Amino acid sequence: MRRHLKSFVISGIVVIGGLASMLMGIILALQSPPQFQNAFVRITVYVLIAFLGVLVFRYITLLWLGYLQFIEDVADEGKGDQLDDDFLPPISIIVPAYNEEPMIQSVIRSLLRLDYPRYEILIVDDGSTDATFQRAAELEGTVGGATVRVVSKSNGGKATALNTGLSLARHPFVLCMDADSKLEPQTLRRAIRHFRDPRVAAVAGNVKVANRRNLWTRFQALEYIEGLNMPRRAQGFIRAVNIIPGPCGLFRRDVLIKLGGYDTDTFAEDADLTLKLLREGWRIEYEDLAIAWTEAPETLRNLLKQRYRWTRGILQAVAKRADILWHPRRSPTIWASVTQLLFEGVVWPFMNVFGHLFFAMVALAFGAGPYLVSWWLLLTVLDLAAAFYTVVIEEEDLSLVPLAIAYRFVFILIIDVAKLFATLEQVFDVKMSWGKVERLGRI
Amino acid sequence: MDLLQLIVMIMVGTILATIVLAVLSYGAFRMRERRMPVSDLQSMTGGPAFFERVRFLPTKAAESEG
Repeated sequence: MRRHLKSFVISGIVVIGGLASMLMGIILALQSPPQFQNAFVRITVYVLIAFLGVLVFRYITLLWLGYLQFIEDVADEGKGDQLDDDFLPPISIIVPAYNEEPMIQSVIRSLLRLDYPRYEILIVDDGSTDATFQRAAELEGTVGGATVRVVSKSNGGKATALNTGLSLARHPFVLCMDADSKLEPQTLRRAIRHFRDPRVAAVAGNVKVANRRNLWTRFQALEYIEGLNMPRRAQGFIRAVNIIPGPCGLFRRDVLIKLGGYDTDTFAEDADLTLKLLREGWRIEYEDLAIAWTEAPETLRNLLKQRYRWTRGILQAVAKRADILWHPRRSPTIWASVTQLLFEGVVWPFMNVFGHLFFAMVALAFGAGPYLVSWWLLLTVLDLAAAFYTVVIEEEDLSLVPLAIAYRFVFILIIDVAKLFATLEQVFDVKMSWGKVERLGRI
Repeated sequence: MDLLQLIVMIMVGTILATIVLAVLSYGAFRMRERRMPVSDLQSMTGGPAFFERVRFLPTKAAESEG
């Protein structure tokens, strides 16, 4: 208890200290001679431009690499359709499930509709306290080329359930997914073709939000398209995707077994496994048309719970393999991908929250509002353009694009505050639990 | 008040209100998490269940016994 109190006090000191020094700087500048005040405002404008520059650089790099990946996909599509039927090895789909009673049957039924000649669906009940196992067991059996198997184990967490699935899987390729997700019929067919290349160990799928019922989930739908899939498409071009998403990742089973499966010492087993594969020199590709629909948190509380776990989990995973960051020459592409993961997970949220506060205070104190408005307009044009481009490229719902106006100043700011505190709690090693998000059975 | 000033006020207000809302929401979320009871397994083993390593590959000894 004393340790937690100490951690909170230190976190508080860091945040309040940062804010206080920012405020002190502004007050001191206000009391200084006019020429100094002018210089202060000018420096603030330069910082605003630098802030914008970082974003422009991020967007240009990601959009450019993503576009190259898109061209590659289109070219592959042109020559690949007749080849696809030559390479369709059997696949095991592992579905770890903990208290997923409301939706487990509809998930299994959706998996039975996949367009693939031979596969098994392996439901691993992770010691659920509801009737998940019974509901799943009702659908056990064989339908066409698909076999449904259900196993149960004592509760040990998602990573252990996935490991159990790995050990029981009968086929050379395994697709790991979440029990709150559904796959598009062509997902297996589209993802498996990447394994013609023996250097590829895994393929990351394209995750989309299924329950676009309120503003939170609509913001998340845009975030998945613009904030998660756009970087993933770019990383796919350099064969170094840094997170294979939990709802859709296809792997070579022998590689995972050789590497010891999923580690159980982080809260982001998907990020951890991805870094483990990259560290061993394996290639990880991205498949735009391997689509998984997932249920996103519908309330702010559940959203914070999810992002808190993601942030701490990613930090735990990166800390385990920090040597990648210190050896950029070993593999520049992997280094770039992991650096981007750390930048977007930790550095950017700090910059974003403190930057916005600083600019707002300067605008109030020095009447530098017009600069702030220009900055906001440029940022918004950039966000709108990126949202439009990514929504069009994914043939998604165009009504999501206008949300980009409030995306950065409302949604991302809230997420970044949560990331900032989660980072501090991870640095000071505050105890955490898995924090399961409530399932509503919407998909 | 001209249009520019109005936009500035809206922007600054939105930024500050969002950050305050986010900090309060985060505080409320963490307080609720703390009040939640630990799971039975966690209380039995005295530690978080998640970190319990499960070995899934059969050992040679187990195979020979079988």
